[in-house]
Amino acid sequence: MKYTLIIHGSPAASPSSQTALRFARTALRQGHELVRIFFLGDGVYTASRIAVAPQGEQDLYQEWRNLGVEHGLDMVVCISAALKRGLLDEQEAQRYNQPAFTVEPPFTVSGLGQLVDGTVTADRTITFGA
Amino acid sequence: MASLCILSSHTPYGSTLVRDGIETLLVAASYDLDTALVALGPGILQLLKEQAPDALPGKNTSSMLMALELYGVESVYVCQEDLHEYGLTCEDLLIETKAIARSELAGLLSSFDHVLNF
Repeated sequence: MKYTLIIHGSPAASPSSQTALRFARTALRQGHELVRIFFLGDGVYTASRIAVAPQGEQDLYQEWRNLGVEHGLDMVVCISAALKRGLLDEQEAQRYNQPAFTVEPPFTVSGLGQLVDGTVTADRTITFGA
Repeated sequence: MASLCILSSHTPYGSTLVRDGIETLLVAASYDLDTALVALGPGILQLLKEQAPDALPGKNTSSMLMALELYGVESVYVCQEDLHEYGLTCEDLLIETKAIARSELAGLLSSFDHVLNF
């Protein structure tokens, strides 16, 4: 089956991103396809390349990143949610004249059209709430 | 044409979920999907007339609702039980809304190809 996942919760304050990660791993292991992972609201913090996981805690950024690279996942952070939270890829950082970029592949920054497209393309869309 | 329903069940200004839902609805409508909004529980408050959230940092989501018809989103649903619980009728709502019984909700939701929760 083809799945799209939507993640609303902050990786630092909610189990949303972690639960979605476990779902993604299991789905892939069982031979399902992940059309897209879409990070929305505080969920976009999952894509911060400069987040530092406390010692002894799960490093969600690295785990999502590794999974994304290994499986060629399409991982999109919502641009309107991302910009106001300081999550900019290199292109957006240049566009807004910011001193650093905080999002890099396999995460990409894009709009809600990707959410709608991912939903329509998938057989099932699963929302992991805030 | 595929159909997509946004299920919106949070208060309008306590988070950005309502706004995200309406924005997704407008994008889906612009992709020529057959779209509908279902507001549940505290989500019905987003439909109230005469909202004045100008002192708050977010956008006035009720003005975005006015765009729904323009984008071809014609079906907006609430539950009668929710209206009753909040002491409201459809007259108190900003846009034309169909009130259905809670018992009809599952049937309504299963009529859509896709349902997104906000």
